[in-house]
Amino acid sequence: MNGSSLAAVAPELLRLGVGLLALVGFIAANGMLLLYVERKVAGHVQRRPGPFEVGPHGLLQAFADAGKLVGKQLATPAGADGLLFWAAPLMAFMPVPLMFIAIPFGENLFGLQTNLGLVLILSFAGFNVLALCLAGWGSNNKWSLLGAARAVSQAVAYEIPLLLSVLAVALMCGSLDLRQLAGSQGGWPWQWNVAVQPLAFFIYFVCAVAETNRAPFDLAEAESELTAGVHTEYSGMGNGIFFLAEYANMIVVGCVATALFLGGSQGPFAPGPWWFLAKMYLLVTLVIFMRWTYPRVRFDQLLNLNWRWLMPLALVNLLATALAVKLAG
Amino acid sequence: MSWPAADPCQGLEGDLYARVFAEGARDDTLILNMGPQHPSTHGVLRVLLEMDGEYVMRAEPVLGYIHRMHEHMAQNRAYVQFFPNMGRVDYLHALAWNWAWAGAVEKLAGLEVPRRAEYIRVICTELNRVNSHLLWWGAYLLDLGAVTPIMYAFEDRELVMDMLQLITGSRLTYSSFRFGGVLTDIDTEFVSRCRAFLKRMPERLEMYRELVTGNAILRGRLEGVGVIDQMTARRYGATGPVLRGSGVGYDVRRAEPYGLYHEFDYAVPVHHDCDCMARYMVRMDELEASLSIVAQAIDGLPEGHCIHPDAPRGKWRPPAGEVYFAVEGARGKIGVYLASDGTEIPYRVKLRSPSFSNLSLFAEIGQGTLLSDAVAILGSLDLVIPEIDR
Amino acid sequence: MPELTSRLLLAMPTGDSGRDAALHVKPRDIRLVAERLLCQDWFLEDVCGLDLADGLAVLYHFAHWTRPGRVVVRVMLERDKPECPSIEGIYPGASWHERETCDFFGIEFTGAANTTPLLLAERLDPAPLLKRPEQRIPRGRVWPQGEWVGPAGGHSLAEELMSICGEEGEQ
Repeated sequence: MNGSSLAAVAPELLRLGVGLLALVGFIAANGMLLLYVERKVAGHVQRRPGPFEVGPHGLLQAFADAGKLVGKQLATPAGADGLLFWAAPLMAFMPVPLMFIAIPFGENLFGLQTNLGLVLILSFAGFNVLALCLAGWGSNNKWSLLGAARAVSQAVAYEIPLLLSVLAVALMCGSLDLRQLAGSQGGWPWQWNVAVQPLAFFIYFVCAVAETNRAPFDLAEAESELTAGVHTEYSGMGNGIFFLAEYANMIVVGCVATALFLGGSQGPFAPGPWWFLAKMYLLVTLVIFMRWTYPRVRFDQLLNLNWRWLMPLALVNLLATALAVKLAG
Repeated sequence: MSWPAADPCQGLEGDLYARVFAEGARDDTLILNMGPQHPSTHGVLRVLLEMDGEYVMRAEPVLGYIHRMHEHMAQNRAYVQFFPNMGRVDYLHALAWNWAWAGAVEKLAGLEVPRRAEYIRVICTELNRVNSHLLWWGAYLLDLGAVTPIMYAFEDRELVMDMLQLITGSRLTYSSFRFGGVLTDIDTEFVSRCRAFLKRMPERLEMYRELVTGNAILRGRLEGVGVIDQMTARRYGATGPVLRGSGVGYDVRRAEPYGLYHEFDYAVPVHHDCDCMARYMVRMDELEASLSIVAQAIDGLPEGHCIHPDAPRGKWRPPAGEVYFAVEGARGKIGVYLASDGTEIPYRVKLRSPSFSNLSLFAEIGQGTLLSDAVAILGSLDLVIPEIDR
Repeated sequence: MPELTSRLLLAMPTGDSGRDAALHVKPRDIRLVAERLLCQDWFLEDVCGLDLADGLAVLYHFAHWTRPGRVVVRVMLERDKPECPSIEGIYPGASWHERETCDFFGIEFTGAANTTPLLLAERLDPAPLLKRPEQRIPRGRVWPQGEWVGPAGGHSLAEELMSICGEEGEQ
């Protein structure tokens, strides 16, 4: 066998390769799962059963949807910039596995240990804006362009309080390594960071919903105003990849929230990755519930909320944390 | 005028309307075509917008995409044959248009309507109004990004449509009124279903109030948006909930009483804020008012015929002359002007549709609003495009 | 007041026809009448064309929020050159009604800012709601004289409207 040649590869690199592959599989599976969950939640919120025909309780509906999306024609609108138009969905999706590699699903279940894990995730998350911007510009559609303009100002605005709230936790724990951040918390809810930093968690959660363009902050898509905003012109898998990226981003923000605020894989009795996944899916389901419950905010209200409330609050929170850390230390 | 022979804006893109609109545009603005296919124009309304970023600098509705020339059709068929058209002018409150046509002809010919028929008309029309407002409520929230309420609204609508199907035979485009009465009588099954519905609705409306009306995001989206002051409403001839949301208690059922509406005790809801929220509240209150009218009518339903025994049937000649008859539809004042030359077919029929006047406001109040507000304002006018285009 | 009745006919409430008062005015007076009606808080219900043997008629229906009844202002136009001043400047809501009437009857409303077709894609010739000559009926048949209740005198609104209309000429 070629065990010797395998051994020649640096174990860290091997771990990264396997991790990336596994994560892409995880993302795809999650996309399917969340699609099903979203449709089921939507159904039950709206007093209907949701998908029910394909498989028992519609369990195979996600596969049918995926098959349909893959089978559809990829049309480029007339006058569109083909390169930018098709680069956009790829750019939306490609950073996603990279964000996942730094996430500690369990004590030893992670793709890459780096002491800049948090920075890595936040910086790759910024790519999403660029993707939406390119999609809006490349589509040669005025609605898409308006959507892109909204997406950019929304993402840029909400990134700041998001960073500030995350920074407060990082300051408290003295690390940017997600594994350490998660590991520094105890198993019981009152030992989690959310108990110490409730305001930061709240700000983080609101900003995360806005960053992932989910309702009630889905202004870039805003189906009833901008038809579908930046997604208007995308057909088949073009749209599908955007969806996949959106769901993956939801999971990423859920994961980061879990690691930072909810104790990561720590939990009462038997700590392990299941705790991590359970908390993360709980957050994601909450986001899905919000989408089917609230009306959409207006653009100026969205920005007002950010600049007038979240940003000062996050700043105050950060300063208070810094002061507390200084005094305690 | 003749076109495109004398084309004032050669070389510009778009059709006639877009080019005429673009003529007055600034250099640094974006001309945006909202519709005729757009989720928030509810049908085939097209609105040309001149946008400065997210702000609407100018707005102009373009009509005619579902124009069917009902007025010409009316001049080519017997009086009674025009009823099916009325169901298709405003498919959401078809029975009010039925009543407008029946009422105009009855007024022209001096026909008598039995009391029971009048009561049946009131019951059906008010149920139809409830149906219309419920759909508006769901669709409006859909415009505002809340996708769930419409499903709840449809749950209630389903019951109304089932009931109306019993007596009219159709679920949407009703044409069950006849000169001198209505086509079919109501039976005990209808009455019992109706009572069950009346019992169910207060609870539902309470739930809607708690879940939706009180929502902070919804209030933020609607309050202070799309203010229509009374002078604007008057100059554009706005009627219905749009006018009542501007603090004017004008209701055709009270101002020009028709049928037996004077026998019922109900409040005309008026809100004074002139904004989208006021129009929203007026419609929510009207749901209650309509249900109360239905309850009174069901309780006081007199015995008798559902159509006058001597009512005209088939081809029939009313006297010559002209008449104007107005009823209160879900969207406002529905008017039918009818000129007769004494033959079997009408000489001239003019249909005054409330949405037509209500929408003409939009060019004025849509100016300077955000795109999201423009959507909220359009929705708050409760437009039914087939009624506008006729 | 023979010349008054000839120029400005008024029907007192008939109830049966759904209107309170019907006024005949000359085209050049329509703007004055509309202005006066706006001052008295009437609102425009619709503008309606009508093809009669005597020419084309334009009917303006006005209603009031607090007063019952309806005022109909009728303008007769020549068939060869149907032109009527636009009241868009007074009632902006009239603009669409006038454009619609122009689509259906080919009546030109002078002084309107926007004259693009409203409901039809283009101007049709002949206009779709015009009658064939043998179908047209005289105005006396639609508006039978028996309906008129005496001269305009005594009706305050009618007198006011009358006083602002031009002095000479006949309808």
